[in-house]
Amino acid sequence: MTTQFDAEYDIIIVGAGASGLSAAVEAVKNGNSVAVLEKLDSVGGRGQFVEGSTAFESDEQKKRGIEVTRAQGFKALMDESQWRANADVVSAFVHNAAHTIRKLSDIGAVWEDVTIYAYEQESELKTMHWAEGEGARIIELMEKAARDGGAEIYLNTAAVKLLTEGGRVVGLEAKDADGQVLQLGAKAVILAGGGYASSPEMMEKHSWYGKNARYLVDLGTPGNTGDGLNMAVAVGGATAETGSVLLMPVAKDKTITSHVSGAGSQPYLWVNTSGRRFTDEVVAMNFSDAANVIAQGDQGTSFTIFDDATKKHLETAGSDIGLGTFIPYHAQLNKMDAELEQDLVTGTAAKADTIEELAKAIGVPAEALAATVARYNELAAAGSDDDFYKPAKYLRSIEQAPFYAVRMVAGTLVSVGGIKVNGNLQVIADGTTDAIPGLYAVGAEASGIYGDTYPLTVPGNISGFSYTSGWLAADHAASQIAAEPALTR
Amino acid sequence: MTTVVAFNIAREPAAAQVLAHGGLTWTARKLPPAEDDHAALSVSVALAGDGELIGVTLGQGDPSWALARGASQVVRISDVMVGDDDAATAAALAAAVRQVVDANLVVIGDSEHHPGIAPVLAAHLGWPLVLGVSGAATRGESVEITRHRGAIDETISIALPAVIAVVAEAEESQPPGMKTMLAARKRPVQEVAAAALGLSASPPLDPVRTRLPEVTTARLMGGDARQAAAELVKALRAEGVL
Repeated sequence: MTTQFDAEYDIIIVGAGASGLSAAVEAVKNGNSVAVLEKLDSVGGRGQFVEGSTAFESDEQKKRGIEVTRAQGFKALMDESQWRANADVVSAFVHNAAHTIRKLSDIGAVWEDVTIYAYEQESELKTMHWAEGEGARIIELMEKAARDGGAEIYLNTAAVKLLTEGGRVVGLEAKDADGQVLQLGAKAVILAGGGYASSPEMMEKHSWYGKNARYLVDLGTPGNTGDGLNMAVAVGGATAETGSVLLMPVAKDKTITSHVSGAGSQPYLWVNTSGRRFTDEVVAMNFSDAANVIAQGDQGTSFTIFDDATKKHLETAGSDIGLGTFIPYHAQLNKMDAELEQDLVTGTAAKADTIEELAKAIGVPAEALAATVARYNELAAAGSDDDFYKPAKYLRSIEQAPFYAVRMVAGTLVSVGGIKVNGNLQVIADGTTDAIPGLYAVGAEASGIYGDTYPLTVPGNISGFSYTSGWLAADHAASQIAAEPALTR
Repeated sequence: MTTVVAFNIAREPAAAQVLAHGGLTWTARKLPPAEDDHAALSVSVALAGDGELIGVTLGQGDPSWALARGASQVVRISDVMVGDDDAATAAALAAAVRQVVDANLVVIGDSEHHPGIAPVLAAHLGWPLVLGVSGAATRGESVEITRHRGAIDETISIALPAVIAVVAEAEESQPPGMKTMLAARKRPVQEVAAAALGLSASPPLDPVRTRLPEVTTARLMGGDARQAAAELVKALRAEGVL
């Protein structure tokens, strides 16, 4: 039986974030009719918080005399994933990311810089393209280009399930802003829902953090509930490498621009809930790895301990490491006192005149913390970290009262593993190597360029992949629509 | 009483793409609703009550936008495009209003960027106009209007026929759902050609070029106060200020 549709489009895109809008812009440029369904009341999703975007051999890199070859990019992404990434997908991304930068320029993006993320992280490739207005501006430009081209963007409208006929996806069922159910026909559906980071249940089920996922704090918009993944699986789609999630350290109940959180993210003394030091805190330079460390700890929590001298250092000399534009390198963290007024009450931070009192305030064994601080001061005095081999310049002794502790947790930026796709971003049928006709997954909805974690050494990769995979999927869908007479009728 | 609502009648600056060299491109397809359109539509629905509400728009107007929000019909002058000439836009809208039998009330957005449209429309129709309207209700044969003037809330009674121009005070709170919007597309639209109304399809204004404004830079004169003051005086003389 052929479904009676409320409306039919060439392409329906589920999600109006970075990848979905990129797909929409390209699809209308290709002459396809397009509907974009966004379950939230505004476009952009987590794409609004993007800082920069990865590309290799772009015009912007060449203009600045920066040489990062596509071969380097491919190798870096494959190596970082321990070769668990899908080489076809990585190749498609690496090969086309420079075109993305040009396409975004064409719709008005202005690139201010191409750089790295952490200045002292030598392995980083200079791939991060920073746009004027960052990700929010790119979203604005893509939305306008998509609408101007004729894309219909429906807000508060959620895709509910995919519709299939004879093994092909032919559309989807949606629920609109009024709660009315629609059957929508499409020659191709592109899933661009941004993964599952907003769903605690899916985080516990799919992410590498297992039960500790319950301690993660979601830092993004609330719409990323894994709808695309669930819908794809329901029609026989496969998943791959679903566990990878991009995390960032953040002080409990704080935003990532908070100065108390910025202080807690510095590579000083970190202790766990037992009051013991547990890592080389220089991992802080790579926020993704740093948050992985914290997320795996007891209660997904650690405490950053420092003394008044270090606090003054942060307020005057500034932060020793940065968190992108949120906490720039050497930013003077001079709002700590104002924030601490509240944070000392809520338990986000503690302040005490002795280490024992500090231990009591944060609920860790006093003897253990005192021993940890004593050992740490010994290492600082020696200028050599024989326990975890942290560079000596970050071994700041803890001697001058009052003493501070900041309660740190891992915040979720986005999940980056999900639906199994090929190099054309087509969804692969479970147990086969075949694509499900008419179905694509892009951006954080798709797996392909990650292993078990997010590689900050190729900075800007999730946004670069989101923009790039979006338009690549739209192009492939357009070619399929044009090539199959049954679809163009 | 037949109420008319004019919509999609102004190009908002947000709809323009400003190119790096200072050129402008405008969307060639449907105009996005102007920022006051939803408020005008909402007021017009309230005023129409059980009576008819007819939408009027021009070439880039999207009839389904108004039909999904309560208009019972739409008249569109399909070959007159909204451009830079607000007087031409107003003249075309007046011609469209005259197509509506028994029309005696026109509700329109009070565009901040195109403040001339509503007054010229009223002048063409020969009807009184109230600008800056925030709310309205029918009172017998007249309409009672509220508007904010500085710190004052003003209530005005106006006899029909009349034009009222509405200012949006917030974003549209509850746009219609997709199903309603799709259904609205299937409803008939009365398309009218400019020639049939004695209008010219081509606007008399033809913009030649646009450019980005000159960037003015600030110059700081620091260091020794006496020397800085002397430099400041010299710079002001060079600029012709002194």
